[in-house]
Amino acid sequence: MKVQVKDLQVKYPVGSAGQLEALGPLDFTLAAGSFVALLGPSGCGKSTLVRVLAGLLKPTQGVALLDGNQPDGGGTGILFQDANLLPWRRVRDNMALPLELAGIARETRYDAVRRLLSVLGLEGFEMAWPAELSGGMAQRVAIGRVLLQEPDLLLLDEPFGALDAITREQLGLDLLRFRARAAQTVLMVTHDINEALLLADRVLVLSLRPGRLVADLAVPLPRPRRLEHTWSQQYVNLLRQLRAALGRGAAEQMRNAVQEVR
Amino acid sequence: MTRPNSTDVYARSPVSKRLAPLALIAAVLLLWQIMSALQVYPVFIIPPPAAVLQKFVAVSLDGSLLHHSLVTLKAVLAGLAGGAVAGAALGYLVERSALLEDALTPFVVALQSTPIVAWAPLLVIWFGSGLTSKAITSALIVFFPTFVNTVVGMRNVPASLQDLLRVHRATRWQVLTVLEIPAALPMLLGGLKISATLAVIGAVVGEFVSADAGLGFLITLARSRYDTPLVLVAVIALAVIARILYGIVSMLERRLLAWQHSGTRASYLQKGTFQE
Repeated sequence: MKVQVKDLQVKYPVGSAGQLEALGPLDFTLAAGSFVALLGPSGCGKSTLVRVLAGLLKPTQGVALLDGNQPDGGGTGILFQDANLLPWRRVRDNMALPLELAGIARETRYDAVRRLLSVLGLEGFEMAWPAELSGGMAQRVAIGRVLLQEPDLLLLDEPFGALDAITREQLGLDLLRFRARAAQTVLMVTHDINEALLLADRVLVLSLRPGRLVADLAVPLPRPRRLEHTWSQQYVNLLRQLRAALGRGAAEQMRNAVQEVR
Repeated sequence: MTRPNSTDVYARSPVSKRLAPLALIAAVLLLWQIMSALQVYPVFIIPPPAAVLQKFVAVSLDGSLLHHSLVTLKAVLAGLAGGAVAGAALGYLVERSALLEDALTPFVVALQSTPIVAWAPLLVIWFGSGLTSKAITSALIVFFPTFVNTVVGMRNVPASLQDLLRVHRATRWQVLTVLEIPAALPMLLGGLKISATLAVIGAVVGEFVSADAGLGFLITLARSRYDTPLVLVAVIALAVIARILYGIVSMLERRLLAWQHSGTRASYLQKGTFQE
């Protein structure tokens, strides 16, 4: 799925008359099948952009187009920071939720779940309640859910943010492996430079609020990605460029703020 | 001394849990027997336990206890069902519509603030002294806890899960069955637990006002004859009915909310369902 963001701007009303500029104006295009990371500091409107693309939020100005259409949730999968499992459903019924909502028969659903469980490292946990899972396992169930949904656009909103560093890297690489269809476009929002470089083909850097594009960087690391890639000179160079871009974003933000005060 | 299992350090032993109430009943019976034997009060005020037991056997054998109990139970169940369904349905609608909330809330609060005893005579005038007026009295008192708990339960539906279903483009019906009802169920069942015991009060209040059968009627009748043992038998029968209803809802709760009592991952591993 091709994603086009044109002159996109989101403002939230604050108090009775005030407005908080959360995002933009923002312009970019994501090619179908690309894996793009959106890197920015906390509070730069990253999650706001995800909500717009998921059809959960109307932009104040400009448009986001998914294959030329306004986002309405269809064909879009989201992985949140929280696994967001329904606590009253067992693992298999949580994972099969997209199939159930699409009206697919129970046996077909459970077969699909069973095929995924071993890949996800969740064998034997089919009948467990979410409360019985660790954070990493719960996020694996959420990954399974989004895999069964087979969305054309996968939005990742700091999906591994709540996990420890080791689990985070592992789950990220697993996610790349699971990514079934090549045509699937992935947009991952993160504040973790290493996560962005390790997983993405391209990194967009946002400034502090209101989030604006300050850098657009291709990541020419080979695929499939492995942890060893993070030790290469090429990786370190990319890391340095991204750091500089984040710094520029912060500095620009500071200048704007000072000008506003004057 | 044996080391207790780490998971039940705070759990009381099942023996004391079973024996403690029995011991208390035995103590009360003993005290009661002593008081009536010493004739502290006249027999028609505090009859001896044996007299109550005799009465119980007598009204059990002639079928009148069962008859009156069933009459009351019918009113209780009809009131509980009617009040709970109305409370849950209206609670849901009020939570969905601000207009309905504004329109209905003052009336619901007024209804709740008026003692049910004040409504009962009016309901008898309108619906006669049969089952209907008792069921409605019972339904009125059942309505409020179910209503309030439904509203609170619906408000507890997490916004993140609502987003999840919106992204999946779930239909209104799917949102209701997949998310809203299960999320509100703990509060709903909590309300139903309170309602189950209140339903008995409602039915008896109705029977006190006007009736020709039922345990409330039996109490009024027995009291007018100074048949204190029969009053006690009827009271105990009411207590038993209320306790059984409460037990049924509790059982339902344990069944439907099993996910809340699932404990930790460790407990799941202990069950031996997991193979590495």
